[in-house]
Amino acid sequence: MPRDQRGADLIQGAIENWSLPRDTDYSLVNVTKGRVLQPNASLSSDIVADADELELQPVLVAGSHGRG
Amino acid sequence: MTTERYARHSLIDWFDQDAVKAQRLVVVGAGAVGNEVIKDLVLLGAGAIDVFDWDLIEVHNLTRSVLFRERDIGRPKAEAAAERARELDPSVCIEPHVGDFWSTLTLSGVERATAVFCCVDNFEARIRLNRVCAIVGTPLLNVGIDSRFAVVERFPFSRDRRVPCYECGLPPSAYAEIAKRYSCGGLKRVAVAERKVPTTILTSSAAASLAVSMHLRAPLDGLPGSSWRHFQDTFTGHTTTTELTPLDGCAGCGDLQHGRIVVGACRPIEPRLAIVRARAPASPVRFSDRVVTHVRCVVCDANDPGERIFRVADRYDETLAACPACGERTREVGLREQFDYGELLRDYAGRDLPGKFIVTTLNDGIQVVIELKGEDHVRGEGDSTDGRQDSEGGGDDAA
Repeated sequence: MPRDQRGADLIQGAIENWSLPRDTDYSLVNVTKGRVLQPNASLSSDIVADADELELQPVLVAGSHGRG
Repeated sequence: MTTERYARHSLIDWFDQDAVKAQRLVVVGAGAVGNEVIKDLVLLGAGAIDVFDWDLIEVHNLTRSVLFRERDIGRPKAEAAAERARELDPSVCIEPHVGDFWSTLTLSGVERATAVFCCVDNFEARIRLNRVCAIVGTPLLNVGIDSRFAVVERFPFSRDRRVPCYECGLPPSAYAEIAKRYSCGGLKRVAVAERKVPTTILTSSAAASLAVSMHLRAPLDGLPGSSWRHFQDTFTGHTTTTELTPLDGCAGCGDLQHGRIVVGACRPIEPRLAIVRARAPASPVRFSDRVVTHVRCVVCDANDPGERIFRVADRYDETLAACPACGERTREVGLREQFDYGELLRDYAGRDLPGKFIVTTLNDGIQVVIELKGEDHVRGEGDSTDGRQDSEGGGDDAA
């Protein structure tokens, strides 16, 4: 994983490589460190260490109408 | 009766029935998730619940909504949910609020609440509720689902410290999704296809019970210091818990300052604003809503400043850009969210301040949130300019 990549780049790559639904928004989390990664933050070693487990989560927006 | 009703709860060592009874909770969205949250809160013995929803019950809601019956089809969701909740426990104080929560939920109402449960179905409503809770300093539980996953995010907002908010963890693609609802001029599009997310009672009940449990347990579990996301796969039961990180320059919480105060005020610009201006001459005034300042046809009004409006942009759609004189979309529409005191007093004297609230910072660093009393931010009332939205059908801004 190139260290100059951002979380958003990794998400985009995952969508393309795994043919994930494109009409969904995604969030990247570092399961090992227990942190949600900022999309624009670079994936430097202090944020994602070697062998850290990352998880791609869909941003869930359904629930009910409340409007606003 | 009450003591006997909750006798089993009293056997649970961590469960404080009196503390639950003392809570006043707000539930925004009375659909699939909201039904489950309300049901859980009532059965647990919550003292007071305010339910907000504008929508009416349709037949497809019945597969996911434990509080609705076939005879309820066509009724407001908030009303039916509250009525059925009272059947579960007649002692609960539950009030339905039918309408757009942006109009019916006051900052003071949020301030009085122990916590707010966000059970809506679109980004814009989540963003707005997040901003209200962050400003007022009331904990927010954001609950979302699809047909497999459930997510609960707990934001322990207070006015004493900053914790990450909903927008801190929102990807840019979500804002791009919202932007599709607006024309390039910044007004709402007349027709936007809604993406329907299929869900089942399995994910809504899982999400709701997780949310209510996280709310009850938070003071005991040592997690209240930051904001947390619990993401559950209902197929496997696997749950990932992660801490959200604050985003520099976050649109939702980046400019909030400690020690802010919330006050109410009437809408006329003078003389109230002049008093505040004296204590904050250089501070901008930020509005809760985008404001249409003026319209001007670049053909018909080429040498004219156009028509001054100063109303909430949600009242209008993209047809406001159509000039009634020349029949073309040649009208320039001024849209802003921030003003300085000088121009407000100079250019808009005598007019009502539009929107739900304004925010400004005094010279001594105290941030003041002024909730504007009255109905101006209600969509579709009172303005006859072309492009106005209807009070219900035309104003749907669900993402």
